[in-house]
Amino acid sequence: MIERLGRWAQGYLRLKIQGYGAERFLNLLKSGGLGYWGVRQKKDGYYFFMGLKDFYKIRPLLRKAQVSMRIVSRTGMPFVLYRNRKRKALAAAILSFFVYLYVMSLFIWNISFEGNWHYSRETLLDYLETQDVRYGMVKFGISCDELEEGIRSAFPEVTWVSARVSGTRLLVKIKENEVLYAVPKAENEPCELIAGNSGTITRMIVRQGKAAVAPGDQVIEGQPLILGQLSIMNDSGEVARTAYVHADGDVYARTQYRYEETFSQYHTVTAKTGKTRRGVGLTAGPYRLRFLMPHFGDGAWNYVTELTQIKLFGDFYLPFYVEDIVGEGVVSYERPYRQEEKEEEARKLQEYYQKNLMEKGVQIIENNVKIQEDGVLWKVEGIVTGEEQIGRERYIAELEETKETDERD
Amino acid sequence: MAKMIEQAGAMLHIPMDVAAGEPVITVTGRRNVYIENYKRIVSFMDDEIKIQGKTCRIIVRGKRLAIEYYTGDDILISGLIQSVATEC
Repeated sequence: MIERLGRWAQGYLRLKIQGYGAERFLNLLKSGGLGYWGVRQKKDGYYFFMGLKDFYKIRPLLRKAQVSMRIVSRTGMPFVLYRNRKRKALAAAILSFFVYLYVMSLFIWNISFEGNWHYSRETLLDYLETQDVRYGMVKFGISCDELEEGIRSAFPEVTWVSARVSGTRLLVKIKENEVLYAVPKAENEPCELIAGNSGTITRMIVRQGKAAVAPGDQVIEGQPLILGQLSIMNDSGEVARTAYVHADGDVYARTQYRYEETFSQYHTVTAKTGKTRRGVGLTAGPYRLRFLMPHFGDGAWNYVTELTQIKLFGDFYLPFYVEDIVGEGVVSYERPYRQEEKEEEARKLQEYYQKNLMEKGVQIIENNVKIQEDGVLWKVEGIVTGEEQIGRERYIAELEETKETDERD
Repeated sequence: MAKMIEQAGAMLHIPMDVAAGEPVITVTGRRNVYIENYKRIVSFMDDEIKIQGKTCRIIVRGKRLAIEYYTGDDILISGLIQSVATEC
């Protein structure tokens, strides 16, 4: 392929030779170091190909071998250029194409990040925006060293960063620290632990402060669990002074969550019709061209578009995107819920709530769900029983203020 | 002389194509014949090509024979190969 391209670029001819000394002529070409290929004998002579450069050197050999030669065809770029020498518009178009490519190569058309796990691509792009590094900017305006330093100082979890411009692409490679950068500081501010949720205490550990409840107690939201205010008694049993500590401990309680959702008896079902449409598109900046196969009849379509940025080679990206569009015909209609569909909805809801609670740190003990019919509607009701840490810190200063406000009222 | 070169080559374990300039003929199916160490083309016809090697002459017979390319030392003949023979 490359060899053929090279031959085309340099230009070659198809020649015909006639005469008794054809073989001698071919041998002379070989000894003269001239290249030829594709030799075939036909009734009227020998046909072969020869590069344009070597062609200029064969005249003495023709005389020596006493053969006559005729040019059958000319192929290659030199001949194309010669034939089109008067087509100024074509020349201008080709020239402007290359000028356009050169101008395009001066800008950044693709920004890619590698190795970012903690920081999303959007976060990093937003940061680059603040540093005036954006899609479509002149690439000589980027200082990779400054950018690397900026990223390192703006994102403390980034331990190593490398930014480089390759073609029309800005490639930022990042390595993040896997452990937490900041060590949490121990707090000493006086506070008490209150119930963040209502429930029954199952177990508790007090590390600092004074327990106000015991396992088995029913607590309501906001009720103090571990007190941070300690009364120091004197020998006569009177309060000598009050000490404030940072109440600390784990208080676990059995809590309950209720959820319900009401549904209509009918729901919309979308089914595929089996019809598909394909199309292609081109996006260039704000402009978008789409070509879709025509369709007959009514009906809704779901489209999935895959965008591919055009690149000439390697990292030479251009600000054009090719769209591969696939449309699937769909039809929507309403129909009543079937029993198994209702159960499926209930199961989904149950799983959704369970997942949410587990993410909050609630250990699920029981999760009951039931479906209730209510005429034109039906609803899913559920109760989740779980065990969780319910202690929340409330600072003493806040507490004092609240008390003062209460007194004023 | 040729005999001496042959014997010296055999003693030194040098291949014959290197020692005595013997042609090496590689036939690929019925489509190609590749000849190394050739000297010149003796005759070229549609159905028969004769190639002169250093020590012998190679005759390739077939149909629609063509010389695909050559370099200083090797040549590739294509077409429907029927026979490859040598003669001194």
